Amino acid sequence: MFPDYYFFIILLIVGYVVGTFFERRHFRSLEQRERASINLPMVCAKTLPFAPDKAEAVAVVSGSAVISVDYFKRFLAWLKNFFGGRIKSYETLLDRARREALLRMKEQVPDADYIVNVRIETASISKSKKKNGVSCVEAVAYGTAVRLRKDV
Amino acid sequence: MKYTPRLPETNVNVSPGSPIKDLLLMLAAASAIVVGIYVALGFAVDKIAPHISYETELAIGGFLGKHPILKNASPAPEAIQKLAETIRTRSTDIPFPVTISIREDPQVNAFAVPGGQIVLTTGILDAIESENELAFILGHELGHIAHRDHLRGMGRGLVLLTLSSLVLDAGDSIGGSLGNMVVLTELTFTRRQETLADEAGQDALMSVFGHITGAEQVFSHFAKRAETNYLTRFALSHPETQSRIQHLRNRAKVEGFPAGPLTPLNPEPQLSV
Repeated sequence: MFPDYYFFIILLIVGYVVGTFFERRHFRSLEQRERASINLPMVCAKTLPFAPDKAEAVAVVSGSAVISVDYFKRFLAWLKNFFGGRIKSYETLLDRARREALLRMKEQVPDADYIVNVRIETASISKSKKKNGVSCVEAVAYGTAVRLRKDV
Repeated sequence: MKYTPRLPETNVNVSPGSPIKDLLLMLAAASAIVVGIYVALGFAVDKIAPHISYETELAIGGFLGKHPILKNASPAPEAIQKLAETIRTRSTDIPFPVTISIREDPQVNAFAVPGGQIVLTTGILDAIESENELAFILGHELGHIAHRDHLRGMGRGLVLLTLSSLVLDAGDSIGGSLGNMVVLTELTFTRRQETLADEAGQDALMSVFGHITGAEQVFSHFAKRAETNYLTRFALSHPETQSRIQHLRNRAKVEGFPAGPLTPLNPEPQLSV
């Protein structure tokens, strides 16, 4: 029985240490890139915030990101199943996925002036019926990128 | 007025707080619940065990017979079986015959299993020097069987096993190996149960030999075992053993049990299986 427990504890520790490291690094990168792309506005509005004839080029852009849970987070979430409450360990996961997807969408069209009608979808990717199947979350962000004519 | 885009200062989508603290809190709560259930079910088992019929006990015994610890034990020599039967008929009201098995194990140990099975280790057979000691050990274990102590122990073991397999979510690996441990290690009894079993051992000595000499010698073997094992060295001066011996002495005085000579193991060669 002891090797089973050791294995479990090692997985927990590895999950926590490595998972926290990657998560912090990812959050730093997100913040940096968000700062860099802050001047490209994204709006959820369906209507254009400018006159239609000002548009020079239009394109559909999308960005998606898949983030997986580490063992530690999964164990925490599993425990939360008993007691209920916010699954904090998955909150960071979804936050990272959404922000990464939005950033990837933006980074495709650095010369756009607007991205309008922005939407975000999330989906869980866990095909396995087994309990130990890897569960990860995908966020897809899409919208319409618009470049305005500069001469008018 | 010109709009200047800004990043939010805090991330509202991520709750603050340490995940480690979260984990520890939940683990503590979960273990408290499990321990609570275990204690409650343990009490229930203690209440139910004495009411289990002997037929049911025999059925449980047949089921347990497949356990490796019992399967690998060999039947005891005729002399030991006969001694056990004599004790059972003379000093207990157990309605079914008991079988004695011998297990290849250097540890000084003996235990009873539901269904009238008593297992002696080769270690305990090597340690004892007289028929009286053997009779006391058999009487003690028969006492446990008569008092249904082993059913209680096994019931608690089952509760622990069920809980652990539920909680640990472990199919075979953890559950199986825990089960192996649980069936026998959970057969530890309370002080009161041990005292009553000791009294049964003393009654057994009286019924077979007409005197109670031999009981204290048995305890000395357990003390010797403790001496060789640093983990249990404390047992040497263990007040529990001392108080058990004292209790038997007092009881002998009150009941007027006489002392007498030790009978050598007979026939000697059969015992070193």
